[in-house]
Amino acid sequence: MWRLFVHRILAAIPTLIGVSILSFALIRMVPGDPVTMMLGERGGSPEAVAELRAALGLDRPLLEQYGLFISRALKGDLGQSIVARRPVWDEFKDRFPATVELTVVALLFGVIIGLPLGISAAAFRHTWWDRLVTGGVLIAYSLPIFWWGLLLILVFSIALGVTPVAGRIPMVFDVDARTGFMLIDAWWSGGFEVFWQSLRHLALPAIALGTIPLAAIVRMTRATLLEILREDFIRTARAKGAPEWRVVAVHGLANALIPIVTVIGLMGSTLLTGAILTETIFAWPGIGKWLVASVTARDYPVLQGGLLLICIIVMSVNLLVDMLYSWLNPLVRKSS
Amino acid sequence: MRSPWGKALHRFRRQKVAVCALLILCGLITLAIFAPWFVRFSPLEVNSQALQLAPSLSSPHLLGTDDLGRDLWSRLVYGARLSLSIGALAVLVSLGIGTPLGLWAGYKGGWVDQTIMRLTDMLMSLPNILLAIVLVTVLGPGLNNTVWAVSVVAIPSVIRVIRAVTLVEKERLYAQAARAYGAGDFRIVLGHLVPNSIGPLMVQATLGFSDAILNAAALGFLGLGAQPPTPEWGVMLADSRAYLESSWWMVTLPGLCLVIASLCFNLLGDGLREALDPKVTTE
Repeated sequence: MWRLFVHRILAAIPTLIGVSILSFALIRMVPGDPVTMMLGERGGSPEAVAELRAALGLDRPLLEQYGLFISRALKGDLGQSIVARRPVWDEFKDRFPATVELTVVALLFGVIIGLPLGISAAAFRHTWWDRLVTGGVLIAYSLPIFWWGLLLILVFSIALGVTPVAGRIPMVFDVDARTGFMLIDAWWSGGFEVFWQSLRHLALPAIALGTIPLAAIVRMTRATLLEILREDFIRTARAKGAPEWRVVAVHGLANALIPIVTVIGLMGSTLLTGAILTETIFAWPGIGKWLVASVTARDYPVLQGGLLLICIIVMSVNLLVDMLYSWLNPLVRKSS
Repeated sequence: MRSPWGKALHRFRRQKVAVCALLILCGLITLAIFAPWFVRFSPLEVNSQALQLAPSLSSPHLLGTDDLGRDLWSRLVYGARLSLSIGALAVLVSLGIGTPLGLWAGYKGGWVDQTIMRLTDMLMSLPNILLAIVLVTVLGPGLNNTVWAVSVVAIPSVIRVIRAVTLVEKERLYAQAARAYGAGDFRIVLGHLVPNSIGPLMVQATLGFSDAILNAAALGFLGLGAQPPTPEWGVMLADSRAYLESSWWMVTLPGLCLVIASLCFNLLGDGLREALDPKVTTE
């Protein structure tokens, strides 16, 4: 297990170097001179331009600049945001919990709804229910999340008026940001009523984002279960007189869990993609909205640092899933 | 005895869903190509006398109008033209770049394979949309650059599919026979491996179409792709956000078009996969 871990970390290094070069090159490839752009409309005297250029290290040879960028990044210094005039890392730290909260709740939604749907579709295979579920999954796969989010707003916020349109919590509540996770902070500072408010804000974005993992989980659960239900040990369980629900839910599901967990784990990158769009629609103050805003504002240090951080997140999640996978799967566990 | 292609066609024709999807797509393509014949108004024609009209059978604006009084049906039809051309171009570009790289990586192996696959890993470690956003930042927003961004995003999966096929096919007897016959690398790859990867290529192209359309629309929606007043579906959705409460049709219709186009390409891709690869069976 540890050998696998070390091996995977080593294999990740070339990818990381590649992404660091990409994000380093980015700020140098954008049309126009970033320095004049950073100084803004006020323009800047030639001295100011030269000064900023020196401060950013842009007057040195390219290779040296890259070395500087890497050595600073390793120390956690990803530069300064032009818009916020704060370190990129601090800006990231403030927003990351919001994105984690959104993706985790979205994933929970996907699992809680998806597993029963997938199991029931497999149990009632080739009935109208199975066709309905598989058809729904197909549509969900082709559903652009930015439209789905708007539809949810249209139905639940505007037509029915049961959920708020955007944001994380009404301004009237003074929530103390202890953990950065609004659900926990709200409970802490205001008890159930404030918690409920924050949950209402979270509901639509989580459903919008959670529909992608939902579809993947239903599809995987159904396919794996159908395969497993043809195995000999299932026939044995049936022959022993186990009721059908027990055969499916206990004997079948226990053996279907590994591929399902893998599918859930592999959603990391997809969920982050979805989060970028979801956060933009629902004005959710996470890293996705932050990155999109940084493009529009031409805040290149943010984009450069954010790119590197997101890449690290995606790779860490994938690594975690691999470890979990080898831990869950007795065959792999024994061999290492 | 039928030819392999005849068999594939036969298997494809038995899949009603995929055939339906193909028919709908043919309809969409016809609409897109002959767009001017199907619309009464220009998609850019502003009409202050007909702002935000709801869809109705009795009005000349069958599907209603948007916040500037532009005819929604015209905009949707011209939007189909844009989305389908973006999809087609992106598929051409990504296959054009991805196929040779995938063939090369799979056939040569060794450091060539390593280098290409590490680069692919790198591109895949970034979320799709984020990569497209980065490319658009470098190239600048707009319709042309959207095509490039969306194509580059699609390249890694093309490389992977083609490489996987090549790895299997180059070990097959026919490839070895060709080599024994004295055929050069070039001849083996172009004359034998390429024709045998046409099936997976077609599937990949169809599925890539759907991804490209959705990604391009997402860029348009974020304001980084096509720019208003271009009648692009993603841009139309972004415009509609301010009128959610007053005009539901401005939100629902462009999105519905996106879903139909993307769903049909996905269904067609699944159908093709089943028809072209008899080993794959569905439950």
